[in-house]
Amino acid sequence: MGMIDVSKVSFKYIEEWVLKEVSFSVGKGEFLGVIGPNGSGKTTLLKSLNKTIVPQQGDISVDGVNIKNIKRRELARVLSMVPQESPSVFPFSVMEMVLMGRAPYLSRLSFEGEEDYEIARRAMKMTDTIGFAARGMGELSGGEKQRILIARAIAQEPDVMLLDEPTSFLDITHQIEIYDLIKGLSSANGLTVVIVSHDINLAAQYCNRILLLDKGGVRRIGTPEQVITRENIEGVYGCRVLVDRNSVTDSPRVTPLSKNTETFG
Amino acid sequence: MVVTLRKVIIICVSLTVTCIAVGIISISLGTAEIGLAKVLRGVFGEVTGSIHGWTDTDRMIILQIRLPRVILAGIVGASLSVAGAVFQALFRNPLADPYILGISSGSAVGAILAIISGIGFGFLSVPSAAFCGALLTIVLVLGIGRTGYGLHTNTLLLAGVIVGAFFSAVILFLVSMTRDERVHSILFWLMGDFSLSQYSEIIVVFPFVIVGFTLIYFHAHPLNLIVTGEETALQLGVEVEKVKKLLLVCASLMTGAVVSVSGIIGFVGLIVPHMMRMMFGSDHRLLLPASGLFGISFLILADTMARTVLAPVELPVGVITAIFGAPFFVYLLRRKGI
Repeated sequence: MGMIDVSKVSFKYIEEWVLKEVSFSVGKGEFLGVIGPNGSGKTTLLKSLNKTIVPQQGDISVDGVNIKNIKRRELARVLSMVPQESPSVFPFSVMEMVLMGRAPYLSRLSFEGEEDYEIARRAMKMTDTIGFAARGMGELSGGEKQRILIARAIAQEPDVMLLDEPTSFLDITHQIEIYDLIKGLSSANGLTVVIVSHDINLAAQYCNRILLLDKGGVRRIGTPEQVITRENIEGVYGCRVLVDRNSVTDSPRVTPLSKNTETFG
Repeated sequence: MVVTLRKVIIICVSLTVTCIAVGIISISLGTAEIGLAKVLRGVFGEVTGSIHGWTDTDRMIILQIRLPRVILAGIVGASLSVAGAVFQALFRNPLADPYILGISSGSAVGAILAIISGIGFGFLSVPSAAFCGALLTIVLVLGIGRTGYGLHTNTLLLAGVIVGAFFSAVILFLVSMTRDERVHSILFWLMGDFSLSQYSEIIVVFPFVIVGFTLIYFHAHPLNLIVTGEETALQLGVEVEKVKKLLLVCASLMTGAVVSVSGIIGFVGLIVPHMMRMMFGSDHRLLLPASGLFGISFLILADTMARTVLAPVELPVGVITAIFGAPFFVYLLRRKGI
């Protein structure tokens, strides 16, 4: 039994099945990357895991308990989510935003206590955001905002963190920073991580295992070396690719090729 | 920066003191000069039974005409401001106001029907017809806005616009069919008017406002989370659909109840929440009570102007809130780009 057990999960919004009998497990402290083309069901899968949507078929358990039987508030103490972005119409300060991570612990009509502030400050130190606690969310850059959202997820004190393409709006420096941060949390605190990524190469560098989704089904799950092969990637994404090894990290590396590329040598 | 219980109490106490001061000043102003000193001395006299009290005329004007009017204006101001803040948060739309679901047009149809059918101004007949109109609108809009996946805010907004537009057409039809002095009553109702305020209206409306505000305030913190996105709120443990439904019904009923006794007073519910947000931030645990308390002062002040600037002629209070509200809103837009 893993930290997360997904068993034969199928989901449809209206007619077409977006997830088809998806089954896999994630072990405690594992760093799992979910990759796949647009529309392969990556985000839908994350939403099923945190009960934003409820699959019509199949079961999902977190730490051995079916999430159908866990109240949202309780689930939010175990499982936190970092969205792609968090647009807010009305201005909240950075500190207020991070404190929202304490919501699952806050009783009705109460205010955050000293302990909540301490946890929020610690989360902000970890994400290197404590310096702009007093600023408004609207004044921050994309990378800073993303780090705030991660700080909020840390403040939830979860066992599992789900991330939905947290680096898609960021430049490479910030991408690496975010991945390093998450990896650090995973190895230092035993946090289980499921990260959806468009960037196969980054996923290959950081993840213990990779789940490759294809049209709502699991094409392959395994180590980066097992999953990221020319055959799998071309089969799922439908374009020509070169798969070789990153000469520094030795992780698999994918380079997409134009249809018109001539083969040299 | 961050809201604490202490901060909420301090700000609410100061705003309450402001409301009371504004109320007393408002009572002392008007066609019949009574004066602040006399009002204060009179209140003292009434309480202690000393001889420095009011004459019978003073007592009549103050207790039977001005006091109920000030109290009712305060209740309406508070309700519209709180409902406005709730609608802005639920729809994540800074332009939302208490009338966004068409409640104003619906209750106007009820009120106008009561006025022209000659049920007249007997005990609460126009207000109760208006309230029926508001209820009908709420049921219609929530019914149309309901989809398989719960209440979708965009669908709800469109439903509100459509139902509102339909009732507006009915209003225009009814007004164009009316040829006598009843048009004047209708126009005053449409622009908001407190000149006929009675204690009975206060007694009927007050429970709606208190119960509505209490239920809303219980969900002040979840409302913060909903502002950052419904999915985020779900993921932070909020039962979004349940909270949304409850808050929509509460804010709509509060609006319907006060519109039925005051007519349509624009801009209060739009501007007051923005002013409070600029001053105190977006945390609803502070924003909601601050909006309510400031809304009291705001509408009492507007109504005092309505009855004094061109005395003895009385203006509908909606004219005052619009004349001052619209330019102020432009100022807000230019200054902060809400």
